[in-house]
Amino acid sequence: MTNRRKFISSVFAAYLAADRELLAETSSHTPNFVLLLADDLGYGDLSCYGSTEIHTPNLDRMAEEGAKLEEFYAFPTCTPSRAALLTGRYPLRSGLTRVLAPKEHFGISDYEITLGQALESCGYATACIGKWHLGDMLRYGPNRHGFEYFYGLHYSNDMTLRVVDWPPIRLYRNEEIIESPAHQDTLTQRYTQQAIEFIDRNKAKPFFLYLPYTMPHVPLAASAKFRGKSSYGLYGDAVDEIDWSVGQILTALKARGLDQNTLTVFTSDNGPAIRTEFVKRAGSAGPFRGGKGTTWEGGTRVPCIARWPGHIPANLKLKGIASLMDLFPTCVEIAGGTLPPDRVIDGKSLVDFMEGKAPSPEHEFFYYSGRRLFAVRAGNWKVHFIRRKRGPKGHLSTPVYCHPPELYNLEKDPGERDNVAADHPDLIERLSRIALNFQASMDPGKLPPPFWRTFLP
Amino acid sequence: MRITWLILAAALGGSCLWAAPTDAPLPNVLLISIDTLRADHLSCYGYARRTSPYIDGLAQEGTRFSRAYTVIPLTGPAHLSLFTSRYPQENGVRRNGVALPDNRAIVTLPQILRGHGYQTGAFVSSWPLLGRLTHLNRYFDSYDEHLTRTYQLFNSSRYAEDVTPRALKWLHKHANKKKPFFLWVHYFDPHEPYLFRAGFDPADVDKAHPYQPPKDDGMRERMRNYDSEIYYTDHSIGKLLAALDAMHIKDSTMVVLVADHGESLGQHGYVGHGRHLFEGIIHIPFIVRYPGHVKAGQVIDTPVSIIDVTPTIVDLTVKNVEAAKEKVPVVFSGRSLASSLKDGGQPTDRRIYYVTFPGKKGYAPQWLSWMWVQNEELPSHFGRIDDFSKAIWDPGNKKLSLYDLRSDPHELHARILTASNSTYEADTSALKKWFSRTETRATEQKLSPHDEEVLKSLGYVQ
Repeated sequence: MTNRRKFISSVFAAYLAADRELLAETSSHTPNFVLLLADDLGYGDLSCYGSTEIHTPNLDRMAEEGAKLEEFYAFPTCTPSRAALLTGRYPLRSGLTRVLAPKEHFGISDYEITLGQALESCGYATACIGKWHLGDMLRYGPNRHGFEYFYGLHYSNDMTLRVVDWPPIRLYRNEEIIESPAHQDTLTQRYTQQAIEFIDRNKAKPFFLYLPYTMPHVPLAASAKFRGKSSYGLYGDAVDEIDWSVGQILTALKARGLDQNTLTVFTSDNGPAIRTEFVKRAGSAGPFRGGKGTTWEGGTRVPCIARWPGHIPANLKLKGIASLMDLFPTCVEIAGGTLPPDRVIDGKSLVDFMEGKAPSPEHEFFYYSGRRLFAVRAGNWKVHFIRRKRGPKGHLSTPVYCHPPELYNLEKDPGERDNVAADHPDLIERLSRIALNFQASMDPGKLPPPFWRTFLP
Repeated sequence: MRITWLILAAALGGSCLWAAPTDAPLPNVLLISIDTLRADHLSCYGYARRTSPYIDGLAQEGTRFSRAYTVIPLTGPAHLSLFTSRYPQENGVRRNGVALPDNRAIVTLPQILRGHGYQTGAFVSSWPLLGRLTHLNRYFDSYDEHLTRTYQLFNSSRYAEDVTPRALKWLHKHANKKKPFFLWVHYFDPHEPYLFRAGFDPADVDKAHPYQPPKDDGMRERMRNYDSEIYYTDHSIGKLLAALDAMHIKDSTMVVLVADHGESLGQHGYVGHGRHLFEGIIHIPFIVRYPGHVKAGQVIDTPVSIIDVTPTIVDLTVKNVEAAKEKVPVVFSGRSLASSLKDGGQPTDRRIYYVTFPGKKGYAPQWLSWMWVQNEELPSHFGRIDDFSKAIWDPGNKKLSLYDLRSDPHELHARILTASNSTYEADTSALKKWFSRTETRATEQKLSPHDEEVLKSLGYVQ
């Protein structure tokens, strides 16, 4: 061979080698996880879940390319849901039973193993981009609980009432405040950018990207590109921007050849702040009753779209009880890890369920609100033991016991309108026993002081 | 010698040395203000239910003003008007959450008394009276706002059983010392939410005035719980009064009991306070007991105002209105009722004014809720009482409502004048003059929309 040909062929050989190396890298490691969590997004707020007001093309496409879970549960409020998601356990076990306030001396305990920590021990790079809400003090922060990179807020974007001496909303990068008050209009944009940068930094190794969006939690905000563009007010604008963000992240994964090796899940932390006679363009829980903060289906059932090309079949509609807690064992199993043996993990792996190979491994769901068990679902039956009543000014009352308990058939009556307790005393008996047995087995963690204390001057 | 004394005194200004100690020792002052208490739901004001045995006892031993009125049916502004003896628009305090201005011409009762050597303590029971919001804490030696309860998520408050022990502790520490004390205790219990208190079911025992429960179920339940709260609060007041007895300071303590405003319990289709100026909302209890100085068992029927409280207390105690270190003539918009209290007899008739300011509500799309978004400078309703003639003017809707309280005590038959009536201008001009005379452009503290939202949830915004 001539020198030139040698040169060309050696370059070509090097390229082939490198290319094989590259291909080998992207498929030789365990799948990446991208967990996208919207804040206060309702069951009926995406077009693929039936919304006629809000159009979410990227999420619709994600559902077409993957699975749409129709009976996916969260808890009624932020902190307990996020604790459930990241620990795989009922919030009562980790003690994070209520929304935490700024400057509180309470948060996620060092005893808890978060999904970030579990995956880190499997060699994953981890990042939390968005709202943490498991404790404001640095010792409770994401950097010390399994996330090597943090960019976001410590709690909800409305927790800044001067009246109770709460500081302005602060944007953190790791343990440093980089913006105070945070400019909320551009948060979704910046989260998206940060997420893609994280993916770029770690595309050669397995990564876990946890992106808990700040929107559409009040106060609503959207960047200039999206403000005023939707037909559903600021709420529509904020959801549209989230949809755009999901689209950007999926495109980024495709562009970097990570698409086939990434499980992406989009869900919400609890039900929405719902429409009332005074507030028109707010969240929707679809056909379900109640909204954020309640243990009706509207407050706890959230959209969940899972996409994993090559594993999760396209256009799969999944019925069967599943919850945020199941994501922990699911990811750990896929990553090839083992669940911590020294504690109860309430979640169960959904791998076979999402791949359409088996029904859901969960048969019951316990609707905890705070430290108390308000309701139980077993199969299609749901019993309410405790509920709140809505006063004339729209405020939720303190919880009251239901005498007698209320019973609903979620298959025939998903809107929980017909209380059929009188017709099925045996079911009430059975579900009560299920509830009692579960309660007896529950091992509560250290609980926070009452919420009202955080408002004291 | 005397000249030297005068020069010395003048040089020291209005310091406490000037209040010559050769006079009789100054009495202690216990001021009790009860939130949201309608006068007509106290048994000593003629209510058929036995809601207030201890307050009744206080009235029997002192003088009761049967027709006392607040100047504004909102807690913060009413209390600030009480302590300054100025109308809300003079203080620039039209809403809850607005502090007293830093205006040397506006002087408070605790300031005056403290300047004369009083130990001053305050115990408040609800959020609108927080020192941070009112700045009242600047004028008291100790300002206890340890609020341990909340309702409707944000609103901090406390019950009578929480505040009374703390007030008693202060009392035990500061009574019978060389300096007299001024203790203010504020009770919040009759305010919403009306909680029925176990053990405090006011039975209607007054057979002479059989109790007619309201026909409306909602109103009956509301009244039952509201009355229970009054009965429960009265019990705590009884503890304060008993402590005065036990410490042998009953005769050397002036007790003044008022409310900041009343409450509408469904009359005129309205529940609450703040928006309207009907009798149930602005008619407040006002009782003064000072054994040996204020006539016992006396009832004064002349209409008086909450802004008369401070001048009266000052007149019965230090008499000298020069607040120490201030050296400004103190102007009270109210008047002293001391001579009627001491010698008996009705005070001269004087026009009573009252006012209320609206919040302007707007929809805040980013909060998905209606919020109070702006301070309104002009009142939504204001009016006056002359003897039994009552007027409420709605200047925005150009509607003047006139009532004759003698023949129509429940205000069911208003004589309404609108702009088309020939006498409308003449009848409203006096009110207009009064308002513009008393209005001030004093700097107000602006609230953030967040704070306003919290205040809205307290029900202070329509």
